[in-house]
Amino acid sequence: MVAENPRVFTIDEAGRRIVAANLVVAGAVLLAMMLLGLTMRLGQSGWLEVPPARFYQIMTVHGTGMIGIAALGGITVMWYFLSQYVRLSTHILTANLLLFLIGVVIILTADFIGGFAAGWTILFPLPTHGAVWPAEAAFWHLLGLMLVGAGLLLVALDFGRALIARYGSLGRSHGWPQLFGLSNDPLPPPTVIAGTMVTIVTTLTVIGGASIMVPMMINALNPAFTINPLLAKNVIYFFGHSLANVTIYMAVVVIYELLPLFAGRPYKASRIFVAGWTGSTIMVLIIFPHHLFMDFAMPQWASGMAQVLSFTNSFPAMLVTGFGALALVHRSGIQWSLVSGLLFLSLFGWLAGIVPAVIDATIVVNSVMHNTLWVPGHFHFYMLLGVIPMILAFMLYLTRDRLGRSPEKDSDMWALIVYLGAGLGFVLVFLYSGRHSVPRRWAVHWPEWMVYDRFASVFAALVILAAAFFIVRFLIGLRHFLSGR
Amino acid sequence: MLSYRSLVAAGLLLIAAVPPLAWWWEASLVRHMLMQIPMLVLAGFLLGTLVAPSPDLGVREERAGGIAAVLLATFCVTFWMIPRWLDAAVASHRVDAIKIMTLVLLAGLPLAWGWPRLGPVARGFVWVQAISMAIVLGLLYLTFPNRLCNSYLVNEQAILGIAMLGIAGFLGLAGAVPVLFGANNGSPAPRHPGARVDP
Repeated sequence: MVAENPRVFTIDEAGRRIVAANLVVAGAVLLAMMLLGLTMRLGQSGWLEVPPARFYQIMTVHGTGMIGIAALGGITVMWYFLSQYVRLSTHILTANLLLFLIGVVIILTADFIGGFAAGWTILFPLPTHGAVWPAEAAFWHLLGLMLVGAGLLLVALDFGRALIARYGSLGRSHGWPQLFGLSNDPLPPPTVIAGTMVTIVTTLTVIGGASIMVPMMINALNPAFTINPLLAKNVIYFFGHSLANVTIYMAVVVIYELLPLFAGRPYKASRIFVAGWTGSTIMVLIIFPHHLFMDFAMPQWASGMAQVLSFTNSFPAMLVTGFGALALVHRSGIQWSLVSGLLFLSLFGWLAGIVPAVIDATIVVNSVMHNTLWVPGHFHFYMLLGVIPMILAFMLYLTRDRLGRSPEKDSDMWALIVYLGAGLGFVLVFLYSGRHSVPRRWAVHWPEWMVYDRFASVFAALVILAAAFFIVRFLIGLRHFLSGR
Repeated sequence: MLSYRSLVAAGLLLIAAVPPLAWWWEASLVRHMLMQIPMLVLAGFLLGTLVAPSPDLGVREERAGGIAAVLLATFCVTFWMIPRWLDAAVASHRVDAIKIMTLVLLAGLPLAWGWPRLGPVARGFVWVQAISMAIVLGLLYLTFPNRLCNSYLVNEQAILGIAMLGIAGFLGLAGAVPVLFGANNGSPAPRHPGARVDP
C-alpha cells in the first residue's frame, strides 16, 4: 500500500530544454513583477512619485503576472516530476510557453499602452465600464488571459491523457478505488495523486474562465449585451480563486519528491493522503464564495458554506502535507541546504499563510477586514513564502544543488535567511496595516499610513535581492542541467 | 446492400431536410438550432463514417488533417449559428438548401473523417471548448435584451439559452464520467521516464 519516490530523476534532452525555458521565463517575469510590486509600495510610501492611473495599471499587471508565473512555474514543477511516472508531451509544454508569452505581450500592451487597470480580478462591469480606458483595452487584456488559460488547459489535458493511459481513469490515478476499499492494489505515488487533482481543477477552472471572459469580451465590443454582475462575479472567482489556489497544488509535489531525498526516507501515500487530496479537489472548487461575503445579494447558504469549507479546506493541507513532511524530517538526520531550506520555508509559508486566510474567510471578520491590506497580507504570505520558494527550490535543485554535488557556501544560507526574514517582515507589515484598517487598492496613502509602507518597501527590496540571488545562481548553473550532467 | 448507418443517415435527412417537416423545425428557434442542425450534422457524420478511410495515427500528417477537418466542421456550424444566417435560411429556400448541404458535407462529413484522427488532447480541447461555448451562448441568449433574429421572438431566445446551459451540463457529465470512472485497466509504467511523447 506504499508508493515510494524515485531516487533518480531522468529527463530527455527535449524535456530539459523546455523545462529550462519555462523556468528562465518564470524567473525573469518573477523579478519583473517583484519590481513592480516594490514600485507600488514606494509610491504609497511617498518615496516615489507614481501617478494613480499608472499605479492601478501596475497593480493589474503585478497581480496578473504573479498568478501567471505561479501557474507557469508550478506546472513546470509538476510536469517534471509527473513525467517520472507517466509519458508527457514536450510539444504541449512548448505550446503552453508560447501561448503564455503571446498572452503576456498582449496583456502588457493592453495595460501599459491601452491603460487597462481593473485589477487581475477583472470584476464585471468594471473592465468595460472603467471610463478611464477604452473598451478595446479590456478586450485585449481578456484575450491575453484567454491565451494563457488555453495553454494551461492544454497541459492539463495532456496530464489527463497520460494519467488515463497509465492508470485507466482519473479516479484510479487519484486512488479512489483504494480509498473506498474497492481495490487492494498499491496506491499511486503522491505526485500522481496531486497531478490528478491539478488536472481536474485546472480543466474546470479554465472552462469557467472562458465561459465568463467571452461574454465580457462581447460586452466590450457591444455594450448592449450585458450579463448579471453577480453571476459574473461568481464565475470569475470560481476561475480566479481556483486557479490561484491550484498553483500551490502544482508546485507542492516538489516537497513530495525532493524532501525525501534530503531526509533519506520515502514520502508515503496512504488512504488518509488520498482522502485529503480528494477533499481538496472538491473544496478548492466550491469555496470561492468566501470572496463574495460583502455581496448582500448572495444567498446566505452560499456564504455559510464558504465559511465552513474555508475552515475545513485547510485541514487536508495541514494534516497531509504539513504533518507528513514534519514526520518525514523529524529525527531523519536531514541534510540542510539551500534547497531543503527553501522547501521547508515553503511548507511554513503555505501552512502559516492559511491562518490569516481562514481569519478573513470568517464572515464577521471579513465584513471589516476585506477591503484592508489584511487580504494582500494573506495571499502574499501564501505566494511569497509558499509557492515561490517551492519553484525556487526546484530551480536550484536542477542546476546546482543536487545532493553531494554542490557544497553550501555561507552566502547561500545568508540569502535564505534574508529571504525568510524580509519576506516575513513584508507580509507582516501588510497584516499589521490591515489590522489598523489601512485600505487596499489605494494608490495614495495618508501620511499616517506611510510608515508601514516604508517598512514594507525596505523589506520588499531585500526580498527582491535574495530572489535575484537565487535566480542568478539558477542561470549560472543552467548549462550543467542542459548538458545533462 | 445498404448498411444500418446509411439507413439512419437517410432517415435523418428525410426528417430534417425535406419540406414540410423542414419548415416545421425552422418555425421555432429551439427546434431550428438544437434539433434540425444537429440532425443534419449527424446525418453527414454517419455518411462520413461510411466513406472515411481508417486513420493511421502513426502518421503526423493524418493528425494534422484531422485537426483541419474538425476546424472546418466547427467553422461551418458556427456560421449557421449566426442569427443573420439563421434568419436568411428561414427567409430564403436557396439559403436553406445551402445550409442543409453545407451542414451535411462541410460539418458532418469532415467531423467523421477528422474526429478519429485527433489525438486525445485535441479531442479534450474541442470538448472543453464546446462546453464553455455552450455556456457562453446560453448566457448570450438568456440575457440579450433585444431580438437577435428577426424570425423569432425574445421568449424563444430565453428558452434556447436555458437549453444551451443544459447542453453544457450534459457535455460536461458525458465527458467527466468516462474520464473519472472509466473501466480501462491502464498500461505499465514507462520504461524511460521523462521521455517525450507525441500525444
